Amino acid sequence: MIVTIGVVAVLFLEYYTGITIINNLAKEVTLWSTIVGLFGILVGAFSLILLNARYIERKTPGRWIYALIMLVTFAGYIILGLYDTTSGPTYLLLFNNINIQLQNAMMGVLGFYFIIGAYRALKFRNIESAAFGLSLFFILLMIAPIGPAIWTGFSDIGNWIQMVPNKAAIRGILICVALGTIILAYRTLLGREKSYLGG
Amino acid sequence: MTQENNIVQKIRKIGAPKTLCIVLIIMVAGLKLYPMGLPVPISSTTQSFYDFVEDFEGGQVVAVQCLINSMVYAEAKGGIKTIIEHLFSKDAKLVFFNVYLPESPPILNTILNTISDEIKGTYGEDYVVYGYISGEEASLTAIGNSFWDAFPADQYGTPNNNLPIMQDVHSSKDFSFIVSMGCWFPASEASVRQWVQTFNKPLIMLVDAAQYMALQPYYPDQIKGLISGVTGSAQYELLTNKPGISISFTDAISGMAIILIIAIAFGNIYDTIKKKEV
Repeated sequence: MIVTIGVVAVLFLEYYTGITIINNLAKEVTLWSTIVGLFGILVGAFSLILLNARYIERKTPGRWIYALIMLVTFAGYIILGLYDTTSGPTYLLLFNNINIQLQNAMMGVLGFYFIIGAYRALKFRNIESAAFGLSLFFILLMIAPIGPAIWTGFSDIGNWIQMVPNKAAIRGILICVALGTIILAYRTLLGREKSYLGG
Repeated sequence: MTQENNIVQKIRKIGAPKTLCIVLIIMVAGLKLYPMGLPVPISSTTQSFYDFVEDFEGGQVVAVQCLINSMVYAEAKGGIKTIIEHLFSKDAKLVFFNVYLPESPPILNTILNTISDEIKGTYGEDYVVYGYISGEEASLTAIGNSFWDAFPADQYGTPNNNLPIMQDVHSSKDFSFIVSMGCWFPASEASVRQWVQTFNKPLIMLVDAAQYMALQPYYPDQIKGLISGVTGSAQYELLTNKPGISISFTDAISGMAIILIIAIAFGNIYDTIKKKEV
């Protein structure tokens, strides 16, 4: 907690005072965050290996085979990345033909979920849901080239929804988030925010 | 009449959601085989992006934050390629970096490989790619303060001292402007906070359609130009006179929009009929 309060205080003072020593200290602290983040990745990778190794060791039904595939792929990619670099031809060949294609397929499946979701969930039961549905209708026909091709008004109405109610609502949310962040920073600075310590 | 009844009975048997999915497949396949080629109107935010790059004097260094993951690769690749080519055509020297998505560098390399050497020039002199570093928003601050400290070497491990493009680039002050391209919402908002508010740099962005709405409040004061997903990319391809993959996607977007509207209408009609029956 002392470390957190110290870091917050340094960054806070850097912004408001501009004293050279504090400025340099703040620059150093922000640079350390990169190293801390890297350790976060290492911890994540380590726990991922441990968890999957446990599945294999216990031969957990329905999981151990996928855990094995995961670990082999994980190790394979690391070795390939070290040997070929992430811009090497073999690495890119595998990455483009496995990873990207699988993720693209996932995104493609999402299209069907959207259709089924729209059919099942978007019901005009009250004024709010009707307003939501109408906004969706005009925004969809504004984005899709077929909308303005049918009637240019779709574009105008869609633009108005986007620029006026949408902008106003998001600005309201952003201001609330900013106020919440200030309160969180204030509580952290005073040592009253302990949730990140698991408290 | 009997034939019509048979069709209705068949649809009932299959179920409306499955029928809609089948219609979607048929429609997308049909549009792929017989494109509609509808005109794509240019939005004001895409036009602003284009004008901003067009007004660029050239010869200066531009920072390009590339935040692409595999899921949005199909949506983003056309726009990203067109923007990079446009920047190169304006004689910009590009410094690519990324502090959010580890899978971004290989995707960026794939896109760069599709651009000819004549356009992109020499690696290390006209452009340079840095690998992923962790730290997210804090790393953006670190980059803005001192690029060399945050990224001591490029993706191949070449130290900055050996990269001609980096000799005059040390911090955010040395970048003419920032281009952020990708799909990671926290990164887009953090870019506004760090590059615009803290380091006072002009920022232009290509984002996915979902983020576009959420970033509207920042346009045009903080974000000087904003491109929205495939539709925006298609508009940009038209503006740069380089019709590419994004243009070919616009028919599918039209098809999807129609199917979605049909699905909503169908769902509501079915709901009303069911209520009346009860």
